[in-house]
Amino acid sequence: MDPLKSISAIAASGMHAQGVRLKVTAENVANAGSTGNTPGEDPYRRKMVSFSEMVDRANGNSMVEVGAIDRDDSAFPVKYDPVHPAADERGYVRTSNVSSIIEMNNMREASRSYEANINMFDAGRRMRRQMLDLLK
Amino acid sequence: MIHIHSNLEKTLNMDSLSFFNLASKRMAWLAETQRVVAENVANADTPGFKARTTEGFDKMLSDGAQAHLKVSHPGHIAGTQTTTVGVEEDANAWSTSPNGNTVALEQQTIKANEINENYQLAASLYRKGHELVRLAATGVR
Repeated sequence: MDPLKSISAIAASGMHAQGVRLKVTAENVANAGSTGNTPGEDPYRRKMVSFSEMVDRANGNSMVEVGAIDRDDSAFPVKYDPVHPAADERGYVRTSNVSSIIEMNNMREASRSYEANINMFDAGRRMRRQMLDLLK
Repeated sequence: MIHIHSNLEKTLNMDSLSFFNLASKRMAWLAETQRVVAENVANADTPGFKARTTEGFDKMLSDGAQAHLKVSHPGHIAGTQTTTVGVEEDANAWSTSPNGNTVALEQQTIKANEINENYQLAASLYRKGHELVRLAATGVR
C-alpha cells in the first residue's frame, strides 16, 4: 500500500483510540458523584481504557487498538453523611473512586494526542498534494 | 521526434540512476519515513511501544543497486524494483515513560515537519527537471 495513504489510516486509528479514551473520561467525570441508593449498593466504579499495538496484516501498518475497558479496583472513599439513603449504620456513604485530577489529566492528554494525530493526517495529505501537483 | 528523444536520453543520462529516478526514490523514502512517524504518533500512549525510524536513504540507495536483477536475455523478466525500506527501533528516542513507551510527541512533530520540507524539496526538484526536459525538447518555457 502506498505509504502516504497508510498515513491517513494510521492517524485515523490513533484519533479513534484517543476519542474512545476521551469518551471514557467523560463518563468518569459525569459519574464522579454517583453513589448507590441503598446502604449495600456499590457506587460508580471508575473505568479505564488500555491501548495496544495492532499490526494490520494486509499492509504491515502498525495501528493502535483500544483493548477491553477495565474497571478500577481501588477502594471507594467514604464520607460522613447520615441522612444519605446509602449511608450505613454508622452514617458513612461510599463514593465513587473517580479522582477529578486524574481525569482532568487524562482529558488533556487525550485531546493533545488527538491533535498530534490530526497533524500527521494533515502532513500526509500535504505530501500527497505535492506529489499530485507534479502532474499539473 | 525519435531522434530528439534519443539525444535527450544521452544528455540527461536517463538510466537507472538518473535524476528523475533519484528524486522519486527520495520521495518514496520520505513517504515511508513519514508513515513510520505516523505509527509512532498513533501509538504515543501504547504501553511498551518503542519509537521506530527508517534506515537511512543512503542505505536504501546502495541496497537498491544490489537488488536490481540484470537482464542478460530479452526473454528474461526484469526484477521488480521494489523499494523496500528497513524499519528499526529508534536509538535516539528522547524519552522513556514508566510504561516503557519511548515516543516523544515533540520529537515526532519535528521529524514530521522535516520530512514534509524535504518532500517539498524533492517534488520541486522533480518539477524543475521536468521543465528542463521540456525546454530542451520544445524550446519554449
